[in-house]
Amino acid sequence: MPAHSHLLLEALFRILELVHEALLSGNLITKRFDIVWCLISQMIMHNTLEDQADFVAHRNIYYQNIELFKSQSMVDNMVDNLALTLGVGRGDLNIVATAKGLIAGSVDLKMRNGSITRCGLSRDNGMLLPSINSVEAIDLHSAKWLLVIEKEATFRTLAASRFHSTCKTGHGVLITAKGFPDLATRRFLHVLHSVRPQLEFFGLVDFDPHGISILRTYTKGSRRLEHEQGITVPRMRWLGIRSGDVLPYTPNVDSTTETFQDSQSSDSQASQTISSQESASYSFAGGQYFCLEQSCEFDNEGRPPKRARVHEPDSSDSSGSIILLTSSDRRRAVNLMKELRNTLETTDGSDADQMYELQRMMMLNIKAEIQAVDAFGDVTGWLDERLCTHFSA
Amino acid sequence: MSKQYLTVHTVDQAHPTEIFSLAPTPTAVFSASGSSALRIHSTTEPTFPVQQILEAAHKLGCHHVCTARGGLGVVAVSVGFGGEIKIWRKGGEDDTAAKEWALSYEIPPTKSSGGDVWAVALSADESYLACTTSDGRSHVWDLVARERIQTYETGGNGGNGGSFAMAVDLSRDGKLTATGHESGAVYVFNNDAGRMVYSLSGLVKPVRAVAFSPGCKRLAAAGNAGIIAIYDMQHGEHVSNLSASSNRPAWITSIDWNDTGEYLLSGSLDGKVKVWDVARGVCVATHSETEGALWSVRWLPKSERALAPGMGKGEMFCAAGAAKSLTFYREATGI
Repeated sequence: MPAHSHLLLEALFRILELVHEALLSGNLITKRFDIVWCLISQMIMHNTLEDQADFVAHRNIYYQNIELFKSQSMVDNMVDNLALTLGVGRGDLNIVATAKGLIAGSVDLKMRNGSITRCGLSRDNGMLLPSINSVEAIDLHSAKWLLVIEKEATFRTLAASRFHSTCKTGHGVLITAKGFPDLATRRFLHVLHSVRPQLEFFGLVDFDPHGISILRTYTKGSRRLEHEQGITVPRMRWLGIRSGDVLPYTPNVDSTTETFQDSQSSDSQASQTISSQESASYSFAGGQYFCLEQSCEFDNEGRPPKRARVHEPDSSDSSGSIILLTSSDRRRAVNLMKELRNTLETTDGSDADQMYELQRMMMLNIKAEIQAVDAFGDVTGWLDERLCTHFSA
Repeated sequence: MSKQYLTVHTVDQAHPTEIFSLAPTPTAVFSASGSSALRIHSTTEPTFPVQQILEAAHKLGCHHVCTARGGLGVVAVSVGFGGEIKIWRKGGEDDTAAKEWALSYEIPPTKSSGGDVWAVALSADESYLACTTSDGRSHVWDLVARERIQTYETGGNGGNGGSFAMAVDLSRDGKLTATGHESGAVYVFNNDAGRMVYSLSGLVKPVRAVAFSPGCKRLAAAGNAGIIAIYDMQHGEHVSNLSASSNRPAWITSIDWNDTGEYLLSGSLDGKVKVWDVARGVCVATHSETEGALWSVRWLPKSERALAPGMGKGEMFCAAGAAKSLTFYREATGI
């Protein structure tokens, strides 16, 4: 520890130095190329939050001091701790990160500089979310729903197919924060959330502990940024995906692996298969009492005698989208469950729902990505269906 | 010849969340679920009433509970999602009157070392516990001395951990331990020698259940492949497979031998419970009361007493899962 702590101190002083310099000059600091921080001393001193957003000079804390900071997360932590220590949010300090989020759909943003951005016009890839501070007004038109997608790739596919306007339930908005949500995206969502209470918010995340914690970050906020205000979207509902969407016996699984055979074992009994008992077995009424007739024929004929037993590798289940949990996934799941357990009594059913899916995940020891809902990774059909169910309910 | 089973009783909403595991004793059945309490239902009365509720047993829910097959039925072991193992005992040492279950002691997660504890199995004399971990190990605990006496490694070289051991069983004679792994491997260990005796192939997909036959001559293993593989324990050979004809059989989550070793019970994620005639290699009965997944199916130890007047004393089994209910079935003999 002692050998390490002088590095930590050095890093902290370096940040303070850069921040101080920036505060005095009103410069922008970036943690990295895609996150721009503007720190303005006068904000704290004189509480003048007026448009000082024109200042420039990009700094790059992390890339200028890679040796010292070791990792980006170290910078993030320190800056957040600093904000926490001062008892204010990043926003109050006017530390603004430019969003890494993307948006597509029937939204017009009227910017403070007078320009109007139409998010529905962007041809395919969606457009980068502007900082909410630079937005003056938001026009949601007839949007009925807003879908937050964990994965950028899924977002891009949906945006390219113009799902936001072709969806059967009506127009909507697509947003992604490309994985774990950043503050700017969450703040943007929070504003939309308060602007249009009747807008339905949905979250579409992977079926894994990470996906559920992303969902919880949107609805409840993250522990690390508890001191931030106005960044949660409590009404967001969990659209998917869940265990039921990906389990291999569900009908949406491709049937390419019909090569399943019973054992080629020399034991003659083993090579007998019962056919058609499934349909025959329901002949007894009432479902309470039936017997399975043994009349089922054994279809030994018509099958090559020494056909090797073919087991498809496990990855073939559901078009290769079911993945095994790693030990760190399991640890993360247990930690999430502990967190959920503590809040379970005090909150609505959504926590219980998440607990239940985490338990299933642990029992099955599988996870799956969003595109697992369809054999070809096309989620639009599934999404249409889910959104319809929500709106008709 | 087919077998007929009928539903004797269903305990609806036995748990508030889905039931993950069942463990029968001669007079009752334990059930464990995603909620914190363990429940014990009497199996000697026609309505299967709740006998006792072990409240707040596992804070995060409980994924495995086990009792000894062919044992007295005074010890039960449960494992919670948090990784803690709890050992429960019935009554006092020599007390025959007070027959309440109570916590004997707990093995906290840190003591179990390595990955988190998953499946458990009790020896027939109820004094040894085998438990598996997510990094492929199996530990054997002496429950009387409260210490770990054996660790079986399956991780291969480098100690980077083996494939998740999802299932475990101890043979009734206490000689063998079998583990079923996510990689599809099934390992059999000799408990006296403390080493692996068989590494069994045949199932490529994750193995979710393993069970020794009552005579300890056979081992059954099943899982995502949707078939049950039967192995001979004298030579470690793959003897046969039990399989249904469907193209994509559902994952099997649970298997259990009946007391005579003639029949195997299996439960799967598509909600079907099946009875298999092992010698003939065929399925002799299928029930599917629910659409929801089944997590556990267990034969109830044979009892000499008839459950109710005129009901006979056929073999019974119990199934539970996502439907949150306990369903009891009885063989329809002599009707």
